[in-house]
Amino acid sequence: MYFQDITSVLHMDGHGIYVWSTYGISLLIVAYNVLAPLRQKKQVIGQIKRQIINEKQVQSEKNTAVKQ
Amino acid sequence: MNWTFFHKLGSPKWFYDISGRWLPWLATISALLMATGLTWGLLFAPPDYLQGNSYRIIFLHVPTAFLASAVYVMMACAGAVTLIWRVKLADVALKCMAPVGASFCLLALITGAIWGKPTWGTWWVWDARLTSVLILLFLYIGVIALRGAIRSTTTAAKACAVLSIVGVVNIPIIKFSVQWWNTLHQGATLKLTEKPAMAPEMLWPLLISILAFYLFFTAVLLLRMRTEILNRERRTQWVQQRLGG
Amino acid sequence: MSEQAISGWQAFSGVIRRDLTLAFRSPGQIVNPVAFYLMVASLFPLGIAPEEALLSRLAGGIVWIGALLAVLLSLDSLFRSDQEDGSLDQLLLSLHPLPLLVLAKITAHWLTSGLALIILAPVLALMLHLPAEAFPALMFSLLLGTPLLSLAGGIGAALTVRVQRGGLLLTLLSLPLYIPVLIFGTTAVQSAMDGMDYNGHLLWLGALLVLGICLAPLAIAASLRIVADG
Repeated sequence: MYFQDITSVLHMDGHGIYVWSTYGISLLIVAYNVLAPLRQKKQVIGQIKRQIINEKQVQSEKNTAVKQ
Repeated sequence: MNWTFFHKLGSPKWFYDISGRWLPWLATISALLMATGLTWGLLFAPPDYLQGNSYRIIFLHVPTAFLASAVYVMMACAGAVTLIWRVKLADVALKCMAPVGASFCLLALITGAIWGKPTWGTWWVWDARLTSVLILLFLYIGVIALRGAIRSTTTAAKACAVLSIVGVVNIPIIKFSVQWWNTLHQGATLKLTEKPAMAPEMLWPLLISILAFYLFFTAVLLLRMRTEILNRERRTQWVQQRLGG
Repeated sequence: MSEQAISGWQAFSGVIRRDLTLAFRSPGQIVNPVAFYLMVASLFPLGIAPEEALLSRLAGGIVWIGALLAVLLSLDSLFRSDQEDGSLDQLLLSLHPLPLLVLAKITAHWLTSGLALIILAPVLALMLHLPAEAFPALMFSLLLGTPLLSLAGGIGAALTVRVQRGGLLLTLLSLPLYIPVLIFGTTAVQSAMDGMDYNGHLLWLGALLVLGICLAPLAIAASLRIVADG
């Protein structure tokens, strides 16, 4: 490791704020790119599942209506 | 020539299944490579002779800048496939690539700007490369905005395909003209990367980071495409069976 | 009378004549961008400073940006009014090649927008204290550049013709295509002001113009057909 201790890692000879802000923002954007698709996937799957349940219900209601 | 392979390639169901198997591997490997490359570059690589420790931003700036350009070219290729061979999966790829590419383009701009402050003293410099990346961001936003403005999926697919092809033809013209404009207005061209060749202690973490970001992009793209496929194919039997049964 | 009886050239000139007639019937279509051009160019001294030295350095860029924005403003009328009254659909049904007819529309558009801007450019340049040696560079760069602005803008106009309130989207799509044209135009003027040779810049504009005349009508025609099916 180039750095001696944790304070010099954070300080980076005065450039610490630049380096760490870029890594922090990058982490945010990487996290967004992971979380946003996952959330959308949950949404879409939830929508489709609800639609299937709805249609099954409508179908079973029709069947009971026919029987009567 | 086994044409059935290409026909299978266009099938959303086949793609969904195969991407489902690849995705965990891609995600894990890209995460590992990213952690390795960035930790190495951040903590273990020696500081730069001229720039000191601020050069460590390079391990983020270069991969994201490469990706931003590469993804746009991939979008244009997907657009060409959509228009010529009417492969729906190509349009799914184009639609999903755009926001990811745009976010990397934005990140390239931000890291470039922040890197500029300790290096050149200002938060923004109109140097040729940063300006080209800024215009690339406009191109991305244009494709995303056009997609949102057109209601019909098929029309939007072909319109975005045309736009991305026009954009990709424009990219070399923009790069050249901005380079031209910049050299006429600035004396010496300032470069963000070291020339001559980088020392191996700096080059290796850079290469690992580049590979990591490419794999990360692929993983995120597959994730988005799978959701989009489910969305578009929700009425088909295989989706109904998978999610309902 | 069958349509094949009309030759390609007759169709081309026919479209130009139609568009010019329509443009002159509603003078606002021509006058508004010109008025806008003058106003935008006046905003710069008002917003920055009226000092001659500063203005003369910026004059080339201001005239060019004014022309660019004025053409952008006038692009909406390229296809939208035809789309609204159904004549665009007629154009798409024509037996003549659509790129040819598109090129005719763009030519007419340039004649009613870019040409007026070029003619007025010396007036603006005088108001902004552009040095005399830069005038030819400004005129030639505008002469080569404004048709390019019409051609490149036509692509965005075609893609957004059926989009509600597509004006902003049109601007967004056109700007990346406009930037190289702007750069070559203004650097030509800048070089002339510095007393250097500006032929190279004009040649680049010329090359882009040839590329544009060949390729833009194809892209515009394809775009019109794509959004028509939707």
